[in-house]
Amino acid sequence: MALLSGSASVLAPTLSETGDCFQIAVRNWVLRLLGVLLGRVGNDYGGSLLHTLGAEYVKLSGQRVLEAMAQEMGLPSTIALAADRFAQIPEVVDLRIGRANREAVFHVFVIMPTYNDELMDRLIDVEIAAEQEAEKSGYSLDVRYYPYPIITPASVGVESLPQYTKAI
Amino acid sequence: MPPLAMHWAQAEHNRKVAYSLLSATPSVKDWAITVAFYAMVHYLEGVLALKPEKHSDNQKSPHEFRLQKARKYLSHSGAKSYAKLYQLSRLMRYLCYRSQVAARASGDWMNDADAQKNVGKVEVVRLEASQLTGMPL
Repeated sequence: MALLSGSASVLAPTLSETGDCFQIAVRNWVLRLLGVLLGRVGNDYGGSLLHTLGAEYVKLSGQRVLEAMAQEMGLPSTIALAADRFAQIPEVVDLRIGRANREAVFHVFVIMPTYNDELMDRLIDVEIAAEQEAEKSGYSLDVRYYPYPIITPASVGVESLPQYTKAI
Repeated sequence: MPPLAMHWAQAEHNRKVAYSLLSATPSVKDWAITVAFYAMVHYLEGVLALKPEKHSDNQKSPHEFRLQKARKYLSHSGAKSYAKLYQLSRLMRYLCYRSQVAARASGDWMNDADAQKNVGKVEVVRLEASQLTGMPL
């Protein structure tokens, strides 16, 4: 099981730094959207094609795409970017987001049939960076991890929440 | 909420209990992690007792509040240790309560070496709390 999203550094810089990682965040969203639209998720040829299409699209309209990503889920850009930090971790198979006012809860499902300390360290690094960014924008972020496949969205009752990442 | 000395005493008690749960046969890893986290909570509350915040009483989300204060007052290593134990204690409890394979998962999911390593994170927060409060180790 893998994600369509790329494998960029998990310590992506902030939106204000508008560098490569910003483009990666945008590209990941474009790829996910195209994956759904084309129904080619999980297919190697499709993934390669989508990467090419996505890269071209990002070159044309990066900023507008991230804005659209935030609008699609009704997310503030700070929260959308935090979600993308987690989506860039290959072991993250599903991310559900609950939100009320200026508080967001990330339900992060991670492939971890047995405990993986190195992965946990990577998750905590991303979490701390994301919480600090959210805090600066006046949001609070509560991140909850679940070891997949032992625990699934249905087993914790969050399957009806909006899904950020698309597992393939 | 009790003052610094009482938080410190509770933290030291929890720390000892965490290590004794680890050294039991068989080791009780899930609760060792959880008790180690609650030792950290009291070390941090001890630090807060000397700060303007004073304590986490009356906070809508005390855990979120303490995570934020850990980032504010502890080093990156201390804040990361605190956040990691918080998440692990919650994760281990999810394995207990939410999983259909709970009995196996809570005992076998994490190996002994990783349990020892992570319970040992309490020392990072204890040392920093001692430096910040002047409480002896």
